[in-house]
Amino acid sequence: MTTTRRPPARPGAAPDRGRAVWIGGLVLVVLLGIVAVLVAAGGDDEVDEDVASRQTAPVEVTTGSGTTVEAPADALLPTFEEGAADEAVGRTIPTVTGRTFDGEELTIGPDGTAKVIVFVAHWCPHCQREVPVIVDHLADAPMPDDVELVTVSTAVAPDRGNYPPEAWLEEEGWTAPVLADSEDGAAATAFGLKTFPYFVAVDADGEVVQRASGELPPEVFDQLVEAARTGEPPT
Amino acid sequence: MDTDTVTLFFALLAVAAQAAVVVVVVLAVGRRWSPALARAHRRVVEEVGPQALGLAAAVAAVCTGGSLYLSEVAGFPPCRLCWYQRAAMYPLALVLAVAAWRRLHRLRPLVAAVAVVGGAVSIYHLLVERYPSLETTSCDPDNPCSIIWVERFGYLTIPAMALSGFALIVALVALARPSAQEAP
Repeated sequence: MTTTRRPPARPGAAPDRGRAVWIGGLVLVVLLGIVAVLVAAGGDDEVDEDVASRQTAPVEVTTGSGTTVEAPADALLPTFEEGAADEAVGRTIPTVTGRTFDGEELTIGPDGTAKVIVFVAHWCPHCQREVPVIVDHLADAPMPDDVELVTVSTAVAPDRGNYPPEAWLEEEGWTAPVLADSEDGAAATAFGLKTFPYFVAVDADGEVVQRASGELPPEVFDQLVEAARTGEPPT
Repeated sequence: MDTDTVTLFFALLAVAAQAAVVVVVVLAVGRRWSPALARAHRRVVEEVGPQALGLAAAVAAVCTGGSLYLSEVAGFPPCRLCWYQRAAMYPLALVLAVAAWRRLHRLRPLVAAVAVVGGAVSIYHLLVERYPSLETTSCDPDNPCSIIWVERFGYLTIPAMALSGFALIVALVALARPSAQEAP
């Protein structure tokens, strides 16, 4: 500070007072910056590298008959469009083979069991709301013995929040097996995912009966389960 | 410096902005009933008023810089609603700087109107974050407005920080007075 003489408080003294306001503001900002650096240095909520590495895994996509797909278009279900007649109905689902978060091999495909496949993304708020709805519903009305519930955790993005998906699904009490999709979402693409949450009801013959997306109320989820079990879409 | 430290710094700035807005509102409303608050209000207007446009320009510049940091350095892509808020905030930085420099106090209503519109978008964005069904029933893999990229202290998401900035700009513009020297 070069000013040593402070003029008495009068209207003409505004510029000097103004400097005090600016200096005060600047000091506050610098202090907050120092606090941020100190606090952030102390906290360490980084996700362990091991955990991070198992949130996605390579996925192999094959046709229903078991040949590895060179031209994937053959095996893929068409992209799901809400409201339009679903061209995927009646088509055999592809087989996707990958790993669970525990590193165990998991295959989802036409294996003789009817199933409902749920695709979720950890950062998607609609998925975050749908998962507990299904968990609560299944506590009251479990899946029938002849229909399986399987999950694909896709679109993993560590910076998008609610990461890692493994911790999220465990916290929600999600017990169905979870396939960790590949980084480029091979399983989601194979099943024609457009938005999440995304549901594919598959009958015992491995054919698509119905597909849906969005937050589904329990009764609509039940319709999907019933569609998978009977092979008949709801009328 | 990592993204965590910087977003924490932004969150602290937002808390400071909120505190300042609360003080201004309490003084502005309370002065009708309390002589002590009326004196305090006069004092704040006297001290801060002549600098308020410049301070508001600084707030808008910090918000602009922060928003560019989040998209360009931290790599969080701005969603549709983010862009509407940016459309309000970025010009405010320029217009307020010119208004402060040229002592254009008559621009205050215009600046306040832009900040209020920006703040209204922030409020809607906050609602979409809490109630995603307002906008969509399912998530597009690309970049829905309902993703919460940053959340500090349990409530400070990016639009909450933007709202703090817009509110402080409105509060400062409301306090702005020409200094005694400039007064006609």
